[in-house]
Amino acid sequence: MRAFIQIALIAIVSYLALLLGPWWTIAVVGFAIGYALPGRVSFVSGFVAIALVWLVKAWLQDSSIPTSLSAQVAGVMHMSTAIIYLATVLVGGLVGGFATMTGSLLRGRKTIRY
Amino acid sequence: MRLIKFSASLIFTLVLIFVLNNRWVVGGLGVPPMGRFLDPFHGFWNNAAPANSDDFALKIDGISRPISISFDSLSIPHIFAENDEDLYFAQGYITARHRLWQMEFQTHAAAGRISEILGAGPNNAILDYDRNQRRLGMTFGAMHALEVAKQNEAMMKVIEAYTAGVNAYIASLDYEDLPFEYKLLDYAPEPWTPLKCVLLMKSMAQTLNMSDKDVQMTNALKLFGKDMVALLYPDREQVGDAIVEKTGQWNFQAPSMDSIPPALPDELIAISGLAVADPNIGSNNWAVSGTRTATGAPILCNDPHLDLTLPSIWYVAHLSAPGVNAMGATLPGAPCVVIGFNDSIAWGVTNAQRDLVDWYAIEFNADKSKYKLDDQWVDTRIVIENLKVRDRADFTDSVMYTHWGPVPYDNHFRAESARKHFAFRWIAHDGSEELLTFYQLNRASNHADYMAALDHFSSPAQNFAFASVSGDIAMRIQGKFPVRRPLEGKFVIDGTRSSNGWQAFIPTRENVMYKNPPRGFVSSANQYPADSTYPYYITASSYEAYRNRRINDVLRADSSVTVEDMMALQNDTYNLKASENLAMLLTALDPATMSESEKKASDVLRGWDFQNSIQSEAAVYFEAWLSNLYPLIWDEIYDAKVPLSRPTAYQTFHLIATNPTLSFFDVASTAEKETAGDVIRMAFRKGVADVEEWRSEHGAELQWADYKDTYVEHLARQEALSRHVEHGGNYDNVDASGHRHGPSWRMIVSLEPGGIVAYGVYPGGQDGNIGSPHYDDLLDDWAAGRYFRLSFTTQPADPSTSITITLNPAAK
Repeated sequence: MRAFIQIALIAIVSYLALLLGPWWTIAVVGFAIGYALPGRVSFVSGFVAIALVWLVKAWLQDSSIPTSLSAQVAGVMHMSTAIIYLATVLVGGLVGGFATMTGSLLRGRKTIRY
Repeated sequence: MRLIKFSASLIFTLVLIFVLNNRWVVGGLGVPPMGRFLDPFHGFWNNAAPANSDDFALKIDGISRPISISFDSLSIPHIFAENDEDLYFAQGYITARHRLWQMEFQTHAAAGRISEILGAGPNNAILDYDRNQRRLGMTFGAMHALEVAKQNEAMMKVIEAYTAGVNAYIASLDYEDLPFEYKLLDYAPEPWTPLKCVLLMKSMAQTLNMSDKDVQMTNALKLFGKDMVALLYPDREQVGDAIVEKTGQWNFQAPSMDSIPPALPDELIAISGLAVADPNIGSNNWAVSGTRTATGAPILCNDPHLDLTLPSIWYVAHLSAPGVNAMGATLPGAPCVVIGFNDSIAWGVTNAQRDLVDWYAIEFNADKSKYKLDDQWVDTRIVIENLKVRDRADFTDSVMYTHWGPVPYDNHFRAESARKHFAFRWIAHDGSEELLTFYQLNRASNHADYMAALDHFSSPAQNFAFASVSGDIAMRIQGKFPVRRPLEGKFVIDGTRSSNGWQAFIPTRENVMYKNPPRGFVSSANQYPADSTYPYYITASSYEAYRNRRINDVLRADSSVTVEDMMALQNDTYNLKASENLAMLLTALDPATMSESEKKASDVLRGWDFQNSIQSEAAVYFEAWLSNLYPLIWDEIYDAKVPLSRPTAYQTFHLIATNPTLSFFDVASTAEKETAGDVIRMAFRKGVADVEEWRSEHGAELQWADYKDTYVEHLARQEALSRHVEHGGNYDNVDASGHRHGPSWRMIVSLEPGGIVAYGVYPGGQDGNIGSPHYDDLLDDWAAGRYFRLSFTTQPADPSTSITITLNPAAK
């Protein structure tokens, strides 16, 4: 349950933060929520939250136009469309995951109960 | 323990962010900053641009009154401003909105600066490209043009307003708004400048003037002798009508001048990678008088054949303000409409081909610090060119400038001789005011205005077709042309005497021109400009021999032309070269010795209707045959170790027909002595073999469009952003669509008294953004020969198919 709340919170806050800040604000959000609401599986929460937000947003962008943006960019990068999506999810997920874990580690286990 | 874990995790996170926030070079390839690039909120995903449906307004600095800009269903902007400065500000702003990356990339390329963005390239190919641009003096010429522009206050205001508009757009951009290419290559746009506007004109001059072949002709003269040069490379091929025929009616005389001897060097000129423009670049334009059209109104047509690229070389715009209401093709990066129409007139251009480039042999002293001119030693001027190269130290080049101009090729660059050097004299090095011509044409209301506007045009020399609602048609070949002495400019010239230079220019009203000729139409397709009684000597690298005759034949045959007829003519794939020569070629074949596939090919060719249509199988065999014929005949030229130029297709066929035992028909690499018939047979065999090989590789049905493969390439040569289209035609067809070049803008304007009716299409789309539906939305229509009726009303556009942006002045 705690993990679920953590994921939902990171996802919502990072979505809003990304409307204003640069890409690495996901790390700030992950770190802050990891600190404020630490969990046993903070890395996974941060990873899943950001990966999900980035995947959904990328898919929404891609499907908002009749031509395929991802396929063209994948061609430029000499990779498949699936790999472009995977890379997006991984990059967002890893930064989100590690940032959330870092925040969680700063707070420590003691404060899990409140 | 917890602190250690925390620190490790923190450091790892920060390192990860650092790595993903920066560009890295991996195995020689630049990898964009993956965090920024892949972030779907700001990175490339954000370049998905859904068709906008809502009007919106912006407050903006730098304009004095509100400006309304409606984009129609093709995303063509219709700009309505209340004064000139606001109009050109808006043109700059809106063009940048659609084409910023292209504008900057093309001007960087013109100035020799793309290594800054792309690095030196494999084998320094990109750096060498830049060095060549610097050494040809592109910016040197543009600076002179800017000096002239600055003397005309009104014109400078236009250029500055356009520049301010582009810069206002650039200033509005954050990373997430940047065009895709900036994100991919990880750099940011720099401010636009007036110099860039004029640089574009010089870049066009480079495209259109650099098929010059003085060096090649000098080598030919040394290798083959004077008589053979006259036979292979005549000044005028005796075929077709000149652009302007008015025999005996040129009521002026050319001044007489002493002839100059060509400087025939004692050794051949060896320059590797001598810059040569593609000889297949050309254009068509014509205007038909109202006496020969179905509606009684004149019709003007134009299709310039240039590189087929994405984004396209042209951007269509409608510019309206008090005193001007013009529409047509603009060059992204320069103000005004270049090819188009207004309420009263229409105009179109083709290249004049004339020789506007000369090479002067320079006699330097031992350390090249001085060179000889009129028996004196004159100081060489050294210009240091500093080239920024991405991921590498800067490269410094020094270029020697002489009285004549720069010396592009020396012992540091491409010239293989350390002693022989040639200075480069090019009309585009001179100050000029082409933009003023377009500014005035945009406002012209009759033939006299058109004439006055053209007086300002120097380079690249163009054949300007004209038609007016009031019923006039005209053609004028306008440029700044040196008065040439016979043979001057064909070969390299002795540069030790200043009297060997250009002594005078043809007075602008003595250029080739006429109005309302009796035949009822004017036309040009890069052919020879004037009948033989024109008083001035004319020379060029070559003139066109086929398209022009086909166009004139069609126009002569139809005394009641319609817009649809004109569409058909622009898309005409009739192969005149084939219809003239195929029978002669086929006669040389020997059915007894042919293989099955060769027999089939010859049968297909015999039944051909001479159309290079999409489906044509015969066109494949014919073009494959010719592709093998030229290298066999001109092997002495193709295989030479020094630059040489191949005679034209027309002259090749002329020699086959009239001189079949000419020594060139012998293939040098064989023991036998071949004649024209032998090489025709050899070329046929090789051509059929090429076609069979293509068929086995592609496994597809053999059809011309697939074999030719019209390829519209992205400017940064990204294949995934380029497009292949099925389209007929070929070089020398009226529809001159080859593999990489072709009609870059097709325009048809019917100048009806009730209002202009105009059609246009081009192989691309208005928006340079790969995520926009307008990136390539005109391409299929272009390929299918379809046109769009260009909306040219002063009323606000239909709100159901258009969106309107209002630019409001920011409160002071």
